Amino acid sequence: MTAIKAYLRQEREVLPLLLFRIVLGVLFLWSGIRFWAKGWIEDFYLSPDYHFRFWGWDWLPLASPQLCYFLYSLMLLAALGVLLGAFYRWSMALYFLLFTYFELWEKCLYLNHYYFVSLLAFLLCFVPLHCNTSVDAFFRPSLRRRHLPNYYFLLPKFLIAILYIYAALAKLEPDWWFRAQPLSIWLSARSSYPILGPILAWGPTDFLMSWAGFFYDLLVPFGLSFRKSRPWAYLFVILFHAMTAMLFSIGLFPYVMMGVALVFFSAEELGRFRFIYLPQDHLERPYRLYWPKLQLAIWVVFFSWQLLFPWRFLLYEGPVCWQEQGFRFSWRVMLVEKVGQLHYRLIDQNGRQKLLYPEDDLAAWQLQQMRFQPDMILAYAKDLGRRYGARAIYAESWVSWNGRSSARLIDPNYNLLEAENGWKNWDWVLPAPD
Amino acid sequence: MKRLPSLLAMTSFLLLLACKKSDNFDKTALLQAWQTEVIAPAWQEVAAQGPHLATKVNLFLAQPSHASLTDAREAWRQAARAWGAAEPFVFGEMKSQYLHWSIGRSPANSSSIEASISDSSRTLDSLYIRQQSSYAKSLSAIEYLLFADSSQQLPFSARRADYLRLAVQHLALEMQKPQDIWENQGEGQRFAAAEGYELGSAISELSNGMINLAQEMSRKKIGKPLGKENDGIFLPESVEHPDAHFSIGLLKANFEGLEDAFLLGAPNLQAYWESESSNEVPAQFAANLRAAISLCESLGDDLQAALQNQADQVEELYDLSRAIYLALSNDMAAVFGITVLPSDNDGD
Repeated sequence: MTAIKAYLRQEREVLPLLLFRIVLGVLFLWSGIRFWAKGWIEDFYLSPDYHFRFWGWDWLPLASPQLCYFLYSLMLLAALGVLLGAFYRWSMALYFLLFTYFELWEKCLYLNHYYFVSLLAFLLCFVPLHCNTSVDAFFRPSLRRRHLPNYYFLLPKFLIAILYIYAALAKLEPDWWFRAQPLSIWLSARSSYPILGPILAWGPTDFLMSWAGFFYDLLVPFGLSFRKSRPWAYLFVILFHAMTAMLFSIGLFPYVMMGVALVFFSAEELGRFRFIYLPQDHLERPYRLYWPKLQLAIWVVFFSWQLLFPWRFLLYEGPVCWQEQGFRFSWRVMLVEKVGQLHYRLIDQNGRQKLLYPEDDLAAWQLQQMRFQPDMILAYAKDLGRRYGARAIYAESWVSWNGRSSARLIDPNYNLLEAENGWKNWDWVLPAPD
Repeated sequence: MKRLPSLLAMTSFLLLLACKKSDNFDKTALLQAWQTEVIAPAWQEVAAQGPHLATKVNLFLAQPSHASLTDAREAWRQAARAWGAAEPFVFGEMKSQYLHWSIGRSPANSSSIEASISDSSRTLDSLYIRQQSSYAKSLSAIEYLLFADSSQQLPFSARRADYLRLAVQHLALEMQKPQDIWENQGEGQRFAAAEGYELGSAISELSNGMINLAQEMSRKKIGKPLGKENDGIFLPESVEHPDAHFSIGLLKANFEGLEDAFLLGAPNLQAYWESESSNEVPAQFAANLRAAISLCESLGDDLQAALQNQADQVEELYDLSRAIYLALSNDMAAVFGITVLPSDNDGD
């Protein structure tokens, strides 16, 4: 125990963490500006008449258009604060709160890397990444340090390792190993791409890439952790994510992962960047952690949650990739290709039946997501039921999953006004097709 | 023991080769076949039927009689049939120029047409017709003028005759545009020459054209009149082309267009779908299309009459159309890895 404590308290040169902060700041700012420039604030937050909210977060009010733009501007300012290390802790806390607020706005926009950014921003509120090369340290020389305890380095590394290893464990699915799905579908659709196309069209590529993807996710955090293997592991990080960026529309995720992996490097390996340090004319004292027990408790709870929450799918019947109960917040990355068709049968108070089509009201991007996600199908059914004062509402929902023939997803005889979302097993979702 | 790694590697490699179907389907050849053997003939037929309709209408207007009216009506049916068979191929530039609206938009806006005819203060000329909405000059508008009750009073009044002549003239020009765009302006060549990143987009364009049409058929052309959105109470007034009693005639042309898109050409879409799929859905899809076409033939051309006399068969046709739509939008889209784009249909 003493050895562990000593290891955790051992001070290391802070250079990798400073570079990590700068890279993150750039990515935060870039993604925010990109989102705004593409008109997505209007398209995704303000235009839709209906929003799919995360279960348990319906109470969170949605801002008016003016307030929305104000909050988004504030978030960009906070990202700039992170990049420059200005009012660092406030900036990071504000970024975490606002980024998470915007993520909670609309469930259709959920992406694993957005969730990762929220978690990372929360964690980094506790890490003094402004201790050098920052506006804060520029104006307050007493803040300047070139060393921080090891535990600050381990916090982001541990989170990144969880992401990768859980992403590997999530790939322990028969579809991934024995049918090379969904990669087979995606690569086949891209077999005409220049240069890579012939390789993608080659028979065994789907399987090789599926299996390699599993081993990459499983091994890369270990490879990055050891000095000898680190350059090779980072090369794999670059190649792997460059390839995913070329092949799939997954936004900034590849760049986020390339950037955050830098935190695994040591100051010696990144030595050429030492010029970024601010001059320091005082001797550093051992770092003093404020409220150590409180901070330790927060970190223990945080990581326990991260370790346990992704396993909740085991509590539910059926494959998680089909019924999706326990799918989100579990690092299930690129595991499914689903296409769905949906309409509702509504019975009004007089017993009359009417068919309702979600495409009449929802935005195309919402429709695309909600047609195969049971909790969204249920949420929209309840909204329709409320709007039309229905006695009952049933879903006619057909989903093709990883290239299988279409099958019903929702029990067509289950009145969805009586169905419940929540922790209990969703008995209104039908078993997966063979 | 030393040989174990090589043995494992060899076994894995053989396993890979054994379990992976070869992915050597020539998609470029598919696009070329679509361009020349499927889509070009469809637009050629549309382009030919426009002037044919105009000729027959002009003959009728020159020598108004029940016989020449019957000829003009038959020419209209042929034009509608040609349009119906080409509807799956409305994408790209055709869609950007809203040709599907200027040719096929329905229902006709009869009050606007009658107002134009009766208001003699308006000068009826080609400019005036161009300024009218597509509801007043598309196939449906010509249908209204040729088939509605008012068409029984022969000869037509001078202004009615002028309106019909000008509208048909405008429609004939519009019906030639798809062929012009496809063959002369290079849209077909662009489609067939797509490679690299564009190849998937070209396949996606046609697939979405088929999917959007199948959805419209199931939901609007059959489902709505069948009362699917209205507690099962039939809405015969919502059928397409009610005046010509040609709703099923057009549906049959639509199904045939989908079948052409699926079966014509070498290689064809069926071969591509089967190369990407290991289930029976493509074969079932072909069987459903054939069954739907046969059912249309047995029902006659008029959906209103069929709703009254053969409601069970119309229900069967609806089920088939649902199955066809589902197979395209779910199963085919899933294995092709394409994004299904919502139709820009106004949802009426």
